[in-house]
Parts: sequence; C-alpha cells; structure tokens
Amino acid sequence: MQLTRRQFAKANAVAAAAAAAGLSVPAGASNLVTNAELTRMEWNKAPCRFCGVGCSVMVGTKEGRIVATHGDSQSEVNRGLNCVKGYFLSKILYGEDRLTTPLLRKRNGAYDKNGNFERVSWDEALDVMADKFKQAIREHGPDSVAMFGSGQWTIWEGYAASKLFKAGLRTNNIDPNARHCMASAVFAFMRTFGSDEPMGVYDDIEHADAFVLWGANMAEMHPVLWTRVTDRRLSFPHVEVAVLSTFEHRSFDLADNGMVMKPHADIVILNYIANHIIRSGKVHEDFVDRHVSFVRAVDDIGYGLRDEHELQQRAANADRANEWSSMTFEEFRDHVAPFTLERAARESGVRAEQLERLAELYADPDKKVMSFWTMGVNQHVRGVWVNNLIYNLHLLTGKISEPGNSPFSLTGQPSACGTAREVGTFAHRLPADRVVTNAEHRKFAEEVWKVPEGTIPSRVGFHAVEQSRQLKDGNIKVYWTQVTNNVQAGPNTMQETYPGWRNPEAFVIVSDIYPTVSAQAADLILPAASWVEKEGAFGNSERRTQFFHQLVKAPGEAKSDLWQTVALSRRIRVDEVWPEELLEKAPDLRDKTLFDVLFANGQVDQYPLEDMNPDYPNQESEELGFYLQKGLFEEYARFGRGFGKDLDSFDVYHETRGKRWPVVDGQETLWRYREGYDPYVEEGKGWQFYAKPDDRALIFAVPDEPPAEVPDDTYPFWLSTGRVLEHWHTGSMTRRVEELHRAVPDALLYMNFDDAQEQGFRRGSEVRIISRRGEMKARVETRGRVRPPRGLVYVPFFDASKLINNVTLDATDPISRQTDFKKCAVRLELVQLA
Amino acid sequence: MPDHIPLKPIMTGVLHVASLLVQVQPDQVEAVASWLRAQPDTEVPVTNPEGKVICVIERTSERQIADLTQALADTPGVLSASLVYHEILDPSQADQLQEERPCS
Repeated sequence: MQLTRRQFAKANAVAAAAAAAGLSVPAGASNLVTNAELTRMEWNKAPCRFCGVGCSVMVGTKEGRIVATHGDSQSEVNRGLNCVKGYFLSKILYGEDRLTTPLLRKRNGAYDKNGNFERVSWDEALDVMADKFKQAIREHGPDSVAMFGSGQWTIWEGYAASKLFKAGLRTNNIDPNARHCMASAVFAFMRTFGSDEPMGVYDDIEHADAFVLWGANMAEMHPVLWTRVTDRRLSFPHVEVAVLSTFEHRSFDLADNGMVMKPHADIVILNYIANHIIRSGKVHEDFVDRHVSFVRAVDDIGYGLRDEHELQQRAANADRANEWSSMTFEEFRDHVAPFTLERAARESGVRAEQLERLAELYADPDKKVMSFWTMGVNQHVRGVWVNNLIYNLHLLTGKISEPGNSPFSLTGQPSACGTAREVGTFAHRLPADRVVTNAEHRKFAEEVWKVPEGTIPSRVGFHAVEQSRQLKDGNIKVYWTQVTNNVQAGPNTMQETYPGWRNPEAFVIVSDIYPTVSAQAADLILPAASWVEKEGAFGNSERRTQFFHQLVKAPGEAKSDLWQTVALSRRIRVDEVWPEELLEKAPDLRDKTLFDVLFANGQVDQYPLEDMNPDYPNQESEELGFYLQKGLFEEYARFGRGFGKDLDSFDVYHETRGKRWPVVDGQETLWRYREGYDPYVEEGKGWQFYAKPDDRALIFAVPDEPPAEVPDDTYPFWLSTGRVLEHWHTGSMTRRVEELHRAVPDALLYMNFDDAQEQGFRRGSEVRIISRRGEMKARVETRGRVRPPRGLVYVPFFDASKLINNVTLDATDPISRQTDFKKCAVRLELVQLA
Repeated sequence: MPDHIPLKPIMTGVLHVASLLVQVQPDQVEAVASWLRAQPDTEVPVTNPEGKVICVIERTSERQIADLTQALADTPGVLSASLVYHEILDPSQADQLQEERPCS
C-alpha cells in the first residue's frame, strides 16, 4: 500500500488521537507511528513551559528550529493530549522582537538612568552590573540589592540565583513571582502538615467519586487535567462535580452543583461544612484521635499593607499573624457551631440546598473527594486560612493520603513547585522546606555550600510587594528580575511598582526574551534563552521532577539566566562584598571570586563534560568546561535526601518522564503520609504526618474577618482579575502568537447584562474602570466565557496596553504576603457607547 | 516606547495537519460529530457513545486551528477540545507518494 504524505500525516494524526483517547483505531490507520526518517525531524521530550500541570510535549526540530509539537503519549500526566498553549509552544520562541543583545540606557557614551537604550556587549553589561552591585553593598550594605525571579526558572537557575544572593551577596532579598500565585498554599501546608506540597497525585482523579472546585476554573486554566476529570465524570455516572466561584465560567458546564457565591464568603461556607460534618456525626473519630490536633489561629491580623496604613494600625495582631494556640475538639465544635446552613446561605448568596449537597460530599464516608483550588483561594487576604479550612474538612473525615481522597492545591507555573518552593527561592526559605530564621537550617546550608558559619543572614528578605515599596522608598539600589514581568503583573502599578523602578536611586536589570513592559521600564536589559534553548528541569504540582535537553540554539547573543547568574559571580570578589569578621573565619577565600566559592567549589564543578549526552548541546557547560547543571542538581539534592524530599540521581530524569518525590531506592511516592505508599511512614501507624513533631496534622479554628476593601456608594462594584486560557499570565510570550492574540485581542470588562443596562452601557461600549488608586479603559462584554453575577466585574490581566493593576489594591494575606487580586472596589464610567 | 508590538505570522504557505480529541456530553456526540463533518477539510474518523469524538483537520494556518478549537469550545454540549497531533507539510509535496510503507 502506498500513501501520499498528506494521507500519511492524517493517518498518524488519527492514530495519535485514538491512542490518547483510549479508543481503537479504525482500519487503515493502524500501526502507523511517526517515522523520523520520513519527516526528517528530530523528536525529543520536554515538559511544557507554561502552567504547573507539567504536561510532556514531543518537540520536533529541523535545521535548528522547532517545527512541530504533539502531546507525549508516554507521559502519565497528559497521555498524549495538549492544550492550546502547549500546541503553539514552538512559536513562542520566534517572535520578531526577540531580544538578542544586551541593551543599556546611555547618554554621551555612559550609563544614564534617563538615557536611551543602546546595544552593548556582554562584557560591558556585566561590568556595569557588577560595579553597581559592589557599590551598593559597600555603601548601603547587602540588603540594598534584591532579585525577583519566578516559577518559570528552571530548578538550577533558581538554585544558582538563590545561592548567589543568600551565600554570596549575603542577603535574603530574593523572591519569586510565585509569591503572587501560591505563597498562601505554601504557608498553609507548613502550618497544617509541616511540609510543603500535596500529599496526593493526579492519579487521584481516576479514583475520586466527587470533585470540588474552590474558585478554580480548571476547564480553562488546567485544561488537560480537566479532560481527566471530565473522563471520570462521563465514564462513571455516580461521580459528582461541584463548582464554586464568584462568577460563572466554563467549568460550570460539567458541574452537577454549580454555585456562584459572594466574594470572601468561602470562609463562612467552609466553616459551615465543618459544622455540618460534626453535627451529622460524620467525624472519622479514630483518625482524628490518632492523627490530628486542634488549634486556634491568631485573629485580627490586618491586610499586609504598609505599616502606616490605617487598616494595619487598627489590627491587633498584624505582627504575629502566623501564630496559634492549642484547643480541644469540643472547643473547635463550639467555634464552628454559629456557622449554620442558614447563615452560610445568607452570607454567600448560594441556595441552602446547594450548600447542603456540597457539605454532604465531604460528610458521606462512602464518597472519595478530591478538592481543587488555585488563585481564587490563594490570592485572598485570608488565603492561608482558606487553605487551612479546606484541609480541615479532609482531616475531620480522614479523607486524605489515599487514592481518590485528596485535597489538591494546583499551581500556575511550570516550576512553581520545583523551583520556587523546593529550591526555596522565597525570601524566607532555603532548600527542602528549611528557613533562614532557623539557626540549624542555616548551619546545614552553610555546610553543604562549604561557606563559613554566619554567611547566610538570619533576617527574612523583602517579599515581592515589599520589594516594590523598598524600591520606591529608595532603599533598594540594585534590582534584578529574571523570567517575570512585574511592572505588569504586580499590584498597584502607578502608586508603587513603576515609581520604584524609575526611582533615580535604583539600577534595575531585567532578563527576558521579549521587550516586556518591565524590560522597557528597566535600565539594563539582558537577552535570555528560553525553554529548550537550554538544558532545564521543572517540578510540577504533583511533585514530579522533569528534565529536558537543550534542543536548539538561542538567537543572537541571548544567554540562559543560569549563564547570566554565573557570569556575574565571576566579576565579584569575596572581599568586595563580605565583612572583615566573616573573611577572618575563612582567610583563604579573601582573594577568590564568588564564582570560585559558589560554583567552582569542588562539588558543583566535579562532573566532567564526558557525563553529558553527546547528542545535545549545552551552552553553559561547554563554556565552563564542566557539567554545570548536573553539579548544581546533585549539590541541591543533598538538602532533601533523608528529609522526605528525596530526589533520584540526575541522569535518571533525562531517561524518564519524571518522578514524584520522595524517590527512595529509585521508587517514586504517590501518596505521602500513608503506610504502604510512603516509605517514611513507620509500620503499624496507618497515617503519619511525620513532618510535624508529634506526627499530627493541625485543624485550624479561624473566624470570619472582612476583606480590606468592599464596594460602597462611590465604588459600587467588586473587581476580580484573572486569566483567560489563550493568554498565559501577562501575555509577554503568548501575545506573540498571532493566533492567540487575535482570538482575544483586547482587554474586556466582563459584566452582568442587567448591570450594564442599568449603567447605560452596551456590549462593546468603552468604559473607564476607576478605583481609589488608578484607572484603565476597556470594552464591555456581557456574553461569552465569563458570566459575572450582579455587582461584580472581571478583567483579565494579560493585556500590556491595558494595565488592570493600575486599579488593584496591594493588600496581601498577612501570613503569606500574597496579593489579593480578586477583590477591590471600583466604579465604572462610560467613555463611548459603541 | 511602543505599547503594542505588531505580530506577524511565522510561517505562511504551509499545510497543517492536526487531530483533536473532543469530549462532549454523551447525548450530544452525534450532533457535534455532524457539525464537525460540515466544516471544510474536516474528518471525523472515530466517535464513541461515552462522549469522545476524534477529528482530523487540514488547515493553511495555525490561526484556523485555534478558530476551530474556539468554535468547538463555544458549541453546546462540548466539554473540552484537546489538540493531539500537529504536523507542518510543504503543500507542493503533500500529494507525493511515500516511497515506503510507514513503519509499524
């Protein structure tokens, strides 16, 4: 039988889709697989570089360019599927305005904050940068420099940057934009379980009898996982899906119980469900007796605003927000007793029978429940509390750490877990759940890193929002951001972020692949390599670590963030940035560079180039003469091995589709804290929350406290912000893809039809959205994918020309310091009727 | 500083072959399959009664693929539309016979 190329491609397309669907292939298309010789493409695996799901993608390259992608059928995560973002991955790298050379603001041949961008060599760029770092530290101390990164850093990029700042420059002023995304989840994991990241895995989806979405729109934000939920729901009629949100969205299409609640009512609803479980006698008493303790959280904790803000002044416990005290089960029972069904229905606006049906999913001992949440819960002035409240339900009923019973915190970035959390690029963290405030933890890190005791400072560094404030106040003199676009993504742009960046006192460096809003607000732009232009590693939401090789060369002089960090370290001598008393402890380091101390330390540089797979390039290692990524990874892995965060050896990850930690004796762990699944649980214990000193998880009693700002007569609407599928985060990459951009061309204001009519707007009217802080213009949309209830409007934050964060408030959760992008008050004014 | 950077297609004059797996409410399988068959250069080789529809398409730009997934997402009864396979062909060679049978 002979086929044309077209027929061959189509037969392959059918075969791949049928395999992904688990269906048999029609005659004629059987046994066809991609033939590399025929297509003359090289196919390699790589985890997708967009969201936190961690889909594996097959990448087809030809003549040094990516020409095709398809879902990886060998991946347990996505099983051959892809979402729209993943599908056009290949084009993200090929925008015409890719940055290919360093650009420095100059006037009359020298750096000038008010000059224009001019092309400069890497040597000039790095020399200016190193001088600025050294000068700032000499004149103002190490806390006058800071860095902002992201959950899109590869594991070794985040590790190298964190090490450079915490052990080299000696400041903890480094934070990831993951702070905006899931810091609340992190703090709640530590409070409830003593160890970060979920106990369950995506495999729970195929075991659950019920799914509850707390504010998450998985249909659009995590579409590949949503196909697995959909499959489960359609294949097993008894399975039930409950969706709760402040507006109606795509995920409601599959919902058996879809609920639109008033903003901030989740605290009342969750406390009501706990009350329902107790009152209906459905507490799993044996589990609670053996594995759980009850505690009362400190209340009246403020809103993470500037100290002088009146709401902070009024809060009694703003300075000890992350504390709690013991209580008994009976006291907890009494605490939740006032959260009745009637009250929950009244305050949330959800019908009582719907709330009761939701509560029964958790209470019914025969239903396995998987709870999902992401930004709706985390970007919340009480986000840590809401995370804790969800765990309360699973702990009261013992529905945890077993197939199908799974409270599952989703993440938004490809390595939010792997880099931001596990590596510990937060301002308070060290690798593997250690913290800078703990002397033992610092000592351990100093030993692994072979630096003198006392090198790592004990003071928590500036978190994301605080960095913007300190820039504006002139206290941060040098600021470096990588793989993030904070002028667009950070809150309250006009009052805090932008004035900070343009403060004459500050020198701001942005590493990126495109001229983002942030790059254009910077003083020095460094062109970065992205995704498969470098060797990388990501960690996804289910603890899966995945590697990829460098497959193509970065354009022009663009270099990876890892290369940039290492290159800077070579230009700074230890005695230029360390104080005399520390140098006296290690006099032999005095004349060394930070590169010698941090990267040529006999550990990171111990693997020769022969260890690399000769089939792939590796720009950084070839230049340095040793296998840099392997050295960094193996040094980093020492932090977690034996501490419940074990990683396998480096080479294994290049050969597999990833493994879920803890990986002990080569075996990954699916369900943590459960005997038979987790090697850390001792025999006979059943469950063991071993990261807590007494092996018990905590159930938290928290009250209902109001949001920082609520609608009033002057600003009568709630404003919520978020994403749409086709534009990932701030859109600096996806906006390059014409297909995606044209699908949703401009920022829209989604609002209720009746509200629009009452305001005198039509669909398509141009309106001004005004808050106490700033304003922006957008077009009214009353139909389509986002359907708000009366009194709430929704604006996506992808559009660089329409910065919704001029309008948002920089209130944060006082514990996690994560911004609440979901709630502020606005009014609307008509500009043009249309 | 421009606040909007013009976007240009990367590749023109090419043929895209792609497959999609569409999940639909089980009682809508036939309706969605019929709708798809009515689209140009679109085939529906496999469906199953539990709500899965596979379609294979030929298009001249990625934009058209995105448009179809968007249209599917807006179609009543459709729960998800995932792209699985994507290959870019040179149209001038698309109807040449392969010299050998594809490997198995």
